Amino acid sequence: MRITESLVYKLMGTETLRAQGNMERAARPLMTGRNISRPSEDPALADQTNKMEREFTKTTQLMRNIDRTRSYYGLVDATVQNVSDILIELQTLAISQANDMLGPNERLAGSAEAKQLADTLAGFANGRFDGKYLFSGRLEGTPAYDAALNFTGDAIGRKVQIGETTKIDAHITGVQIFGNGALGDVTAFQAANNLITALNANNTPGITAALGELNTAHERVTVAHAKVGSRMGELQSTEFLLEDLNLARKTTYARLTNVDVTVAASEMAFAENVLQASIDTAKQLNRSMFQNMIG
Amino acid sequence: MIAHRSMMSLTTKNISNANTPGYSRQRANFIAQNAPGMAVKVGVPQAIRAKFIQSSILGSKQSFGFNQGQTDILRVIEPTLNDLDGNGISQALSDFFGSANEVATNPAGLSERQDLVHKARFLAHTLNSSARALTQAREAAHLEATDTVDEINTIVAELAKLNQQIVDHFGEGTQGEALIDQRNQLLNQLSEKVGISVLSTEENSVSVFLKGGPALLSATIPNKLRVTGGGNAALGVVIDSPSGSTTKTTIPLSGRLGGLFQARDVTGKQVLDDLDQMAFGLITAVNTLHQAGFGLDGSTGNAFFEPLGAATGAAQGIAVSAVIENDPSKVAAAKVDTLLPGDNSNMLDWVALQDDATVVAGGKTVSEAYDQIVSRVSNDLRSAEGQTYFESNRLNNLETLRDSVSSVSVQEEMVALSQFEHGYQAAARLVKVADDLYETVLRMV
Repeated sequence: MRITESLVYKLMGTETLRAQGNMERAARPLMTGRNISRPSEDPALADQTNKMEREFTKTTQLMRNIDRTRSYYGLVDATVQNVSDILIELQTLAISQANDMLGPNERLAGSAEAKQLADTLAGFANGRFDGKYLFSGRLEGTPAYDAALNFTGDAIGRKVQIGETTKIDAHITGVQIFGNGALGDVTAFQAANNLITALNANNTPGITAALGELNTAHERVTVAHAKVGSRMGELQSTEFLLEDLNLARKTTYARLTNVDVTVAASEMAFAENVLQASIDTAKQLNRSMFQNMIG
Repeated sequence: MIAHRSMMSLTTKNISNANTPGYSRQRANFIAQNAPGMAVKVGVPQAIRAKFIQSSILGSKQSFGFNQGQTDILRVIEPTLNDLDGNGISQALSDFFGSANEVATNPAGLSERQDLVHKARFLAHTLNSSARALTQAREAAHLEATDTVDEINTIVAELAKLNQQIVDHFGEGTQGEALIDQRNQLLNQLSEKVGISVLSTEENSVSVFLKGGPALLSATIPNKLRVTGGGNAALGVVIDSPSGSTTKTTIPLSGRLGGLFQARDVTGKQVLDDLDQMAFGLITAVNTLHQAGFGLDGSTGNAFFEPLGAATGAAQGIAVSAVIENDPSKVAAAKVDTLLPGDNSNMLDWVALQDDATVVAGGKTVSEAYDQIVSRVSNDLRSAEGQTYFESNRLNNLETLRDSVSSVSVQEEMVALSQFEHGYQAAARLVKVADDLYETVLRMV
């Protein structure tokens, strides 16, 4: 093949530019810290990256939902425990006052104690969380119970998304804890009032009946408490699952998108050497052709 | 002496043009003569060219130009669809649905509603910007195509003049060969801009046609190319002849012009249409839910996004409705107005739209639709860049081959110059000897 001056100059120019381009391409991952900075560099990886980032955002949101719901149930848990304790005290009082040996005066004293406990119980009915009523269900701007302790809230409550396809009840409603008078339940408040009435009337059968009602109310609270516990457990286990998923995704994401500095630095060094060799060769060729021309 | 001096002159010309782009070295032969007083003469100088290499270069230029044209426009489009830095339509969509989930968790919360409106506004602005950028990229392709056509017309006019000059200097050797070299350079430039086929005629003239189409140049008669279409219509070309007739052509173009058309009217248009479909699907789905739901204040029937009648222009036109912008409490999170403020069932359905494959026409979720848009552009660009690189290498190789055959080697010419110089000196010596002999004879008389 004939070697001509224009051929040599073209070769010098082309190869030096190519080496320069390769060096720029090798330097970019080191400068950005990412394997790719444009989708066209690796369309499949870019697609995977976008999908993963969407998954992170979703998972982060679900964990926020879990956190908020858990705060609610944490307060409900403490409240329901208090309600349970009060009912136990009322039950204990009823048992002790059911003794026929006690007279009207002792029963009047018992009635005063029962009244105090009943008032405390009623105070929990319209407990609040984050400016909303704890036990009103979806009607969270309205007190769960009116002055006569009739339920005025929403008996069902709403759901909250905590997983890809998982929703959880966001409320425990007043009827689940204290009973639903509209459906014929004797509510915990009613049971406490019935005890007070029986004690005031020195009515032993009435006291026994009130005790039975208090037992039923306490069972109801226990069931509600178990539900709260179960939901908190579900929130926690879902959170752990999401954390594990997030960790696995983040590891994969980092592996796919973050540059391996050692490999990138080595490629950069190689590209730099090639560029330098290209420039030195061009200088040498240039010198030798110039000498030929003037020689 | 004259013969050797002519050869030295030709060699000097070759050396002078060693760096002239496209110059083909010229060679002439000594031809022995029997005429009295003329032992040798120099034949007509011929340029050393390899036609098959020139023809391959034309083909490679067209392909290079086509892919380069595509690459240039797609590189402008790509940044509007680049989410790799964590900002872009994909993240805006995720944040929008995430914010809806926040409202679903606390439907009575005003700050969550305000955040939803903010995220919706940001999503709308991001879609607006991307659609505007895509439209601008298509307009830029149109302008670039118009400029390219102007350049094509200028080259064709010059080719016509050169054809005439070549015909006028046909058979005259050096001057004609230089003109042919210039014409080949122009044909190379032309073929990079638009795909052509070249037909040689008698007397070394050429006619140039759009590849598979009508004539751009008939020997010395240039036609003019003109771009048609624009706006939402696809670009095309027509050919105007000096006689006033116009020829339409629908053949797919190659060269840079073809690449610009492809990027603008195939990839670019598809991307814009798909973005519009995605935006329209989102607007329709969200509004359908929203209008059936209830705001905190019990209001119903309000659209969340400003309603649009058709998908075309939806990406550029999407906006949060003024009613919602002015009062986020009207965001309809509830399905049942008697269960306000805590009912979130409408908002839960809204969140579920993120994974609903009926939102976008063609059975796609919003995210899938967007992923497909990004994938189309990135794959088309990667392919165009790869082809550009491949053709660039091929072109380099072909031009190297061409240079090897046709361009000047100064060393070769220096050797030839030395040879002809010696020949000239030998001939001059002969003249001196003849002169001495003649003088001797004269002195004898």
